[in-house]
Order: sequence, then C-alpha cells, then structure tokens
Amino acid sequence: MDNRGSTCSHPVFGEGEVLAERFRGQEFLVKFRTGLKLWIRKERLFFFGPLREEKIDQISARRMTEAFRLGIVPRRDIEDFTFGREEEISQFKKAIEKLKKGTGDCLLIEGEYGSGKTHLLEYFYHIALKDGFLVSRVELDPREVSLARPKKVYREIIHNLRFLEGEREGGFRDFLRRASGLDIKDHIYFTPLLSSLKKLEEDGLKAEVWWQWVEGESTKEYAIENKFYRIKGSYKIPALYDFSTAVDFYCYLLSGISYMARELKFSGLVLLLDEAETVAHLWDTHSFLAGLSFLEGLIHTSLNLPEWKKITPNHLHNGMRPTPYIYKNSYLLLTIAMTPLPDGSISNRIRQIIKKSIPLSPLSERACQECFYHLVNLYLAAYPEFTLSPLKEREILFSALQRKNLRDFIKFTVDYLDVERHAVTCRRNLKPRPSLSL
Amino acid sequence: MLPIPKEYAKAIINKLGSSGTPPEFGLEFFTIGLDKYLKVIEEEYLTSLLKFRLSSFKMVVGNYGGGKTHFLYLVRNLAFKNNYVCSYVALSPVECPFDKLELVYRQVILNLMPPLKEEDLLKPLPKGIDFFIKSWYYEFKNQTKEADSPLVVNEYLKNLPATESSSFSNAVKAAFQAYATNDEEGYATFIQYLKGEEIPREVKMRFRISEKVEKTNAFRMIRSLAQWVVAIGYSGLILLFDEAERGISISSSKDKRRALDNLRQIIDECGNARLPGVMVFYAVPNEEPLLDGTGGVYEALKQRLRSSFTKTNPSGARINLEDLDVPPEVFLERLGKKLAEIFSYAYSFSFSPADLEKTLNLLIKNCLSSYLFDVSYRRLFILALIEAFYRLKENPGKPLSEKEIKEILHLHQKELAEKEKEEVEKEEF
Repeated sequence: MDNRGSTCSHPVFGEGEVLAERFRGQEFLVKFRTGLKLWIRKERLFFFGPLREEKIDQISARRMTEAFRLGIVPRRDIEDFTFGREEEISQFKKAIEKLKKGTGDCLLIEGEYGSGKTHLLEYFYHIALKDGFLVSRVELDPREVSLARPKKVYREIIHNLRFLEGEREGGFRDFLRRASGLDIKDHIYFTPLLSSLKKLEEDGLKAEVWWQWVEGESTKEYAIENKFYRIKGSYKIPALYDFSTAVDFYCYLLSGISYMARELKFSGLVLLLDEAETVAHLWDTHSFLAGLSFLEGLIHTSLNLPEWKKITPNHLHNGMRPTPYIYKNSYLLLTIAMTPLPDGSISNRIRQIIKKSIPLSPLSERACQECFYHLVNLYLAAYPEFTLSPLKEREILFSALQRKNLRDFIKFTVDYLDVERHAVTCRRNLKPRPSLSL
Repeated sequence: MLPIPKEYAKAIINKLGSSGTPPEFGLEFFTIGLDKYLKVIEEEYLTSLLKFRLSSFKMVVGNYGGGKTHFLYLVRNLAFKNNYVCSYVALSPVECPFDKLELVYRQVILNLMPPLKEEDLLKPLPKGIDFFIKSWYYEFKNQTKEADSPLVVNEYLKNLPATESSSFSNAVKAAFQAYATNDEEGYATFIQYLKGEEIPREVKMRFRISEKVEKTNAFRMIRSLAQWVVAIGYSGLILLFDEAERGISISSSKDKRRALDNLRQIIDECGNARLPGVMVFYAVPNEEPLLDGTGGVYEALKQRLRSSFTKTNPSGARINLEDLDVPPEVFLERLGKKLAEIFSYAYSFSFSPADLEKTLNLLIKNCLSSYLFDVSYRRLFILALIEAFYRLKENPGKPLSEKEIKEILHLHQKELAEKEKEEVEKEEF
C-alpha cells in the first residue's frame, strides 16, 4: 500500500515525510526536515495517523502464487513484480520519451539465461502499451521464427501487435481499419492495400483471405481451390516474398506501420525481440548471414538513418522488387534481448551497431530480499490460515538466496512455503494422544 | 474398507490380473499413499482455484507401471465429483504427437466426458463431442420448461456467452440446435467440424464458421472449449495427458523441440490464467530424457518443472509418484492386503491369515530384490499377486513356496517385457 507522503517522527532525526517503503512495509525511506534521507525500520518511527496496509485479494494472490509455482510471473502482474531493475527501466523510459518526440532508437539487453531478460521485455511491453505505443514482442527461434526468414518474423510481429484504445486492446486488423482513413499515397504496399480493404465485405471469406495474406499467413490453400481468392504479386501490390533477401521489404513494411502509427497519433512502434542470439544457431553460412542482415537492417531502420531511405548497392535488396529499408521516416524503438554468445564476434558485431547495450547483472541481494518479502506477503494473502514465524522466514530467505537465478529463487521460495504450510497443516491435524489415566 | 459388491470386486481383480493396468472404477479401494496429493488437488484446485476461473498445470512423474494411469483416473473421478468435464488422452507419436497441437485438440474432443456418476464408470465409458453435446441437450431439457420450443432453444443459445473463437461457439450452438430440431445431417456436419475435420464451405459460410482447426489456432480452440464448458454450467475442464513421453518420442529434434515448446506454452498459459477453469495433468515416466537438452526451451522447462528440493510437496508443479513417503515394501504390503480383501469379496473366499502373510512376504521380498531396478515392479507385483491369490484359492492350506513365487515373477516379467516390445514395434515408423 502506498504510504508515500505520510508524516512521521523519529526520536533523533525529528519529523519527516515518507518517500517509499520496502520489505512488506517494515522499512520506510524518510526525508527528514534536516534534509537527511534514510531507510528506517518501522518500529523506530512514530506516525501521525494510521498506516495504510496493503490488502491483496485472495484470488489475485492465489493466481500469482500458482504462476510462481510454475516458475513464471503472470503478465498482468509484471509491473508489481519487478525489482531492482531501476537503471534498465529508466533507460527504456528515456528511449520511449525520445520516440514520442519523433526519434527512434535501438537498445540491446544482454544477460545470462534466467537473468530476467524475458521478464524485463514483458515489463517494457506493458509500459509501452500503456504509454500509447503500438507494441509487439517476438520470441525468435532458429527454426520457427528465424531471422533468416524475414517473412516469418514479420508474421510473428504482426500476430503479436497490440495497442490500447481506452480500456480495449486492439490488434493489427483494428490498426489497419483505422489506417484505411489515412491518406497514404506512395507506399508501394499499403496504399493499394488500404484502398482494397475498404471495398471488401467485412465478414466474407475473400476479406478473410486478404487479411491472412496481409498478416503474412500462407493463403495457398484458398488460392489453389479458387482463383477468386488468389492474391497475385502484381505491379500494383507486390507479393509478400518469402526470400531471405527480402529484408529491405519487411523493414520497409515495418517502418511504414510505424509511420502510419504516428499519423494516427500513436507514439510510435515498439518492437521487442527476444532470444536474438538464435541468429547464431544456424549451421549454414548463408542463413546465418541472411539473419544477421535482417537484424542489422532492423537496427538501421530503428535508427532512421537517411542512407537507408534509398535503394543503394551498399545494402542488401531483394531482386524482385527492391525497396528502401525506410519509408519516409521510421518511428521505431527496437529492443533486442540476447544471451551473450560464447563466440563473442557476433555479439560484438551487433553491439557495434547498437552502441546502447544494457548488461543485465544478477539482482542485488537487496532486490532479492524485496522480491522475497513481496512473495511472502502474497503467499500469506493467498493462504490466510497459514502463519510463518520470523525465524522460519529468515531461514527460507537464507536458503533462497543461494539459488542460482531469479526464476529459481522465486520457485524455490514458493515451494518452500508450500512444504512448510503442508507440514503445519499436518501437525495441526494430528490428534493429541489420549493421556493414560489410572 | 466397505463391503464391495461381488461382481464389482470380480471386475477389478480380472482387469488387474489380466494386464496389471488399473480398471476405470473402484480405484479408491486399492489406492496407497496418494491421499496427500488428492487432498490438495480437491481442496486447493477443484473446489477453489479453478472455480475462480484460474488454471494450473501439474507434471505427474512415475515409472512404467508406477501408477500414473491409476493416479489420473483418480483425479478424473474427483473431478467428476466436483462437476468438471474431463478428457483423458493417451498421447502417441502417430495419432497424437504433442508437436501437432491440432491433433492434440482432436484427441481432447474425441475423449471429452461430462461428469459421470460412480455407477456409470462400470459400463463402457461414453465419450466424445457427440455424446457430450447430446448430454448438454438432455441436461437443458431436464431443466427447462418448453425445451422443445424452437423459440426457447434460440433464446437459450443467444444468451450463452461467446467463446474466444466465434467459429467454435457458432459450431457448438449450431450442433445443439440441429439436435434439438432433429436435423440429423446438420448435426453430423457440425460434429464433424468440432472434431477438426473439413466440412462443406457453404455450411461454413451459412453458420459463420470461418476457422479451420489447425496448428495456428489449436490453442485458441482449446481455450474456447474451456470457456464453453464453463458457460454451459460445468465447473471447468480437466485435461489428463497420459503416456506423454510417447507423444514426444518423435524422431526429429525439430519436432521434439516444437513439442516441448507447446508444452512450455501450455504451462505459461496456465500460469497466466489464460485457460480459465482448466487444470492440465501431464504424465511422464521420467522427466530427465524429456528435458535432456541445452538452451532455450529445455532450460525454460527445467526451470518450470523441476522441484526445488527433495521434500515431498503436494502443491508443487511436479507430482512424483515414486516419492510417496511410503517405503516400497510397506507400499506393497498395504497394496497386497487391500487386493486380498477385494479378492475375498470377489470369490467369497477367506484366506488363511498365515498363508496370506507368508505368500505376501515372499512375493514382496523377491519382487523387490530381484527386480529392484526394474521400473515396472508395482505392475509386476500386482500381476504376480493375483496369480498367487488364485493358487491359494485352488489349494487352501498350501502357502506358495519361494520357488513358485520366483517362477510366477519370472513368467510375468517376461510377459510384460514382450508386451512392451510389441507396443513399441507397433508404433515404429
């Protein structure tokens, strides 16, 4: 519960104002009138007025506890369950503020497996969504969503694209419906497409085929059966090429989406790519280079560099219908998460282009403790009949701190609390042995 | 133990004696050491968490013949008692591999069961979407005045909340209406669609069924199924995946990775409460080979599914049937006594306590010493025990000698090995 702003008094430092609290409200950060700012234990302070205590409802607490048992943090609670990442979050917030002013950027988050990269991306996803951006988070995979196959990545980006419209969450189709009102005259793809979409009957199968095609799905099945559903690559609308060299085309499309987003008064497009190290998991050199090209293309598109707004022999272009990488201006924030590769050359190459690398170090002990008390608090709210002695609480914390990474730390804590709860229940259910009476 | 009807007891003994696999009924009479898990499943999940429209996932680990199917059946019976819809699916690399979720969806639909009563379990079990829709209709009919009126049916269907996939929702409603109006052909078409098979395009257009069940929307269809069963009045949906390792024992590493990724996605969907009122049980003999890989999805699954420490935790993500806090010899002794009691009811036969004890002790000793490292020792014990019971019944007053016990064990061990080999060969491709 937020006790910020409460007034309190300390026997030595005098009166002050609460700025923050931690450890389930056991410590408060107080700004004293002398100017001192200190973390002080609750019992050393006198409060003018009752303290507000956090009441978590049992259902939410149970929901979260169950997710922690499975070793994950539920998406909707991500903002309340992120600890010790102030620096990384601040960098991301600066980047989205910059994008609001019209300048895109690229960030690289590097950390070992289990260090919390995916968690952080999820957190970024939420803040960007709430802040009026179009957001898409994609988990790359060497086989299914490989950077060497730009169409597959595009399809995944489109599939996961979301934005908020009041209380409602919208997807790519909602976005394009809104975009059909825009006057986009010279986008080789969206100009004819948006005008075609306006003419289609909304619920008809033909519209559905079109939508699937726009989304990067294969519509071959429909087209084989009926020519009516064949969407041909023609002079007016180029096909969605599935070549590894079509990186220019997909960067052009994504920058086009970011441009339209801006025209529709969204703040821009935020792309979050997870597991980018998979670019190096490819065994054939051609695919590896194609993947790297796409990644570099995306990075340059996000940086909105002028030379990428034209077709030049210096850049990789598809042979069917070469396009510039950037349509007009791109308003794109690209955030890439990557586990450092044993062969540092690829990481270095990516780092050289991005320049803004955020190394993700293990959480500090202080942040782990904060996370731990938050967990215990939730657990007690989930199982109100369960009590935990301070001694046992410290014992669990001590053991949990030995765990190798954050996910393990969380899962271990909840498992331990479960075992303890069941042990207590068993002890409580044991009937006392009847005493012998003579 | 309560007295068991003779025929009921006989059926249990016959089923156990013929294959060593559990029958679908009467399991409670010979269950050992699972109480703590079942209690938690009922109290913390079936009557609590799932009713809040949350979801959960449990991995059930137990060796071959270690009681996985027995456990899943018990969960199913508990679920029925609490008004849950269940689907018990035996995964296989051919019919139901986990890398093809659209096939998993089909199997879930083909094995769908409304809550059944104890006595229903004795008969061949009715299951599948066809039976399920009919049961839904008859439930509606029992509870509704003028249920035959098309207006009443329309009004009822109109007021049902939509599911995430409108195609799924439209198809189940259309099937219900077709059945209510005796449109047999129409009914068969919608059932066909719900089973994941192709149906004529004009029917799709007319009833606004635009989605085809495929890998891209299999999750959405399973979610829609879960939303629908809750909407029509059930507490939720329990999915029981048995033999899960076989669903993943696929030749290519690409398929295995995809299967594991699907598994990770199911766990994450459960953790994010995106499968409302759903609990998934996924039974494997040993998670080690399943998670034997490095990086990506392997690491993610290891971190989700492994226990943090060795203490038994009935609430944990992993239910270990080998770790029941009951030593193997005590487990077998208790099981032997319970089965002896069922055998007594089945054949109105009283064992001589001394003969029974001697036979049981010899069997336990030999089963555990000779087959200490054999993963199927529980199944082997059951098969041999029932054979020993028959011999005791035939020759009252003559307890079995150690030599006889060893012969019986050897015979059944050979039978089990052959059966296992046969099953593997059957599915090789």
